Amino acid sequence: MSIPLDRIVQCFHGVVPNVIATCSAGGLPNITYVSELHYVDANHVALSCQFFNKTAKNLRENPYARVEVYDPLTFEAYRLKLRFERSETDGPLFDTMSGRIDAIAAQTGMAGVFRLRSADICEVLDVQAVPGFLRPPTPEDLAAPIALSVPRNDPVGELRSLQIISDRINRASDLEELLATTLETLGALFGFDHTIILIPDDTGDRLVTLASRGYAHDGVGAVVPFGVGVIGAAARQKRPLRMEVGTELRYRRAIRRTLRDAVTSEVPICGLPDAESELAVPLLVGCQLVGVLAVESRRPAALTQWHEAFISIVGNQIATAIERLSNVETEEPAEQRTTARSFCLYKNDDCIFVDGEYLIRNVPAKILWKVLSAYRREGRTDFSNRELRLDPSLGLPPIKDNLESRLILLRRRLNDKCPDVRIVSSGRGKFTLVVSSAITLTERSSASDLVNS
Amino acid sequence: MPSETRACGIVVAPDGASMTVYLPVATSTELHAALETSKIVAVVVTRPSTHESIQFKGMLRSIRVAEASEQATVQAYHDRLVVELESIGLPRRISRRMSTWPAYAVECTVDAVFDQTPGSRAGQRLNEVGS
Repeated sequence: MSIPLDRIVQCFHGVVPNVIATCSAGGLPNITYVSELHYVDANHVALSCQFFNKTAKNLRENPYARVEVYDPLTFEAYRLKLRFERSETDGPLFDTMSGRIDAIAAQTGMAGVFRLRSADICEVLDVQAVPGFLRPPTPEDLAAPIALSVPRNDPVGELRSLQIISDRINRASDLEELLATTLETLGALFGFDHTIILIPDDTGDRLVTLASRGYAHDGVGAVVPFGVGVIGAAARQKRPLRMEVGTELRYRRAIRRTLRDAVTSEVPICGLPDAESELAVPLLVGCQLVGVLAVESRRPAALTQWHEAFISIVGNQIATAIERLSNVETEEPAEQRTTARSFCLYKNDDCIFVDGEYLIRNVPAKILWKVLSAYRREGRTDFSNRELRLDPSLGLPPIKDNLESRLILLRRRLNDKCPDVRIVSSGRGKFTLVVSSAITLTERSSASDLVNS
Repeated sequence: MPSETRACGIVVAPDGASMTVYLPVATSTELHAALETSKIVAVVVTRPSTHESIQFKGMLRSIRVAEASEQATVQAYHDRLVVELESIGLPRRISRRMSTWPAYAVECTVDAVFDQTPGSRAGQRLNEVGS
């Protein structure tokens, strides 16, 4: 009896490459590996056609194919009998498959070099387990059971945990508390040990990391261009994206090696360098993107449809909370050290370096430069959000200016790179510049041009 | 409809003109029957960590049950595969359970070799062998 297709959908993005066998019209067999199958519905799968290869040619001559897939957790094998039906070159399915390919292509420096030519839709005629593929487990095999990332066999417990995180999000009194509480709770209650929250930066075409949990370095300030990688693609498409990113990257890097002359450098993406599973959900208020929540794991197949649904619910709450807290002031303690600091503003890209090291750019950089200049010029240390909003030179938008997010980013970057210059809250809508070192300010029009000092 | 199964070892003759592919008996009933009627064989070999792949095409010469003296060859191949799969996240406790023995030994000619690594060169013939 055929196994329902939706029971093996986890095999379609497996760790071990799946195998597809086809035959030409004359009966000459061809066998190769496929990076992934795409589940279309209970009776159909789609193959991604990026290069018009022998498999694609054979399917158009002789529509029957066999595919062998492997469960990423148990490694049980299944054989599918397929019959090619049609190719799609546009529409929702094509866009979804294309978006996944484009995300990894952009990350691996191959944007525009290869693309999805068609989604080849196949009817699934039969699904069978491969008996005897694995020998029965021995006691030694069973002594080390496979760990799932989140225990999910207790619906009441799941709901209770969702209620807890919902309460904590709702009670957060400022954005920093929201970010810290959310990521901590996701880790403590659900085992999401590597999480990142990013917000759109001032360029409008990339995200900047605002908070993270579970990394050696917090990565605050690291940027991800829209459309690049799982995170960038989720932002651009404004929909959740879940991917076995380790497998995908290995597959795309294999292609990259064959296209040595046509590619650009790989784009470094914040997060685990050896992540196997990744999920990113856009944080949306209405249609406006206010951020991205990303979750990743070193374990293959660690993130499932359940995680996607769960993180999307949490993401919706975070998005609403970010909107709610966008004008509330916070306070952050930081260590004091005495030293001398040299700040340099590169005016061509509104970028500040401190002691020769990149610190921050765009609007947060303009804010920092404004307050540091006032401090140097007048000895001033007290400032208000209102005066920042009224200063056209900062380039804040008239509504939804995300000033609070920008100040958090600035505080965190200072705390990380230059802890003897701090911005601390001094009341609602006010902040104080605390400087415990000598500072010098230099402006350059670009990296090679000295303007004044 | 093509028939396929995952092999558990391959040995290419020193002159490159022939190969012996080992198939687990446990999973190869259908393929064994198919080879009785069609003598054309395609074999793809990959390194999962890099997706570097090649495909052999040839003609069946014979199928036999592998001899005890060949088990060490199959086991060594499997041991290397277990290490390779572990490097991409599949624990040894799982991959070492793959059936490998008893096995059929499928003797074939090697008539063509193709680059099967994903990319624009996939399907490109690498050399003329056995001619």
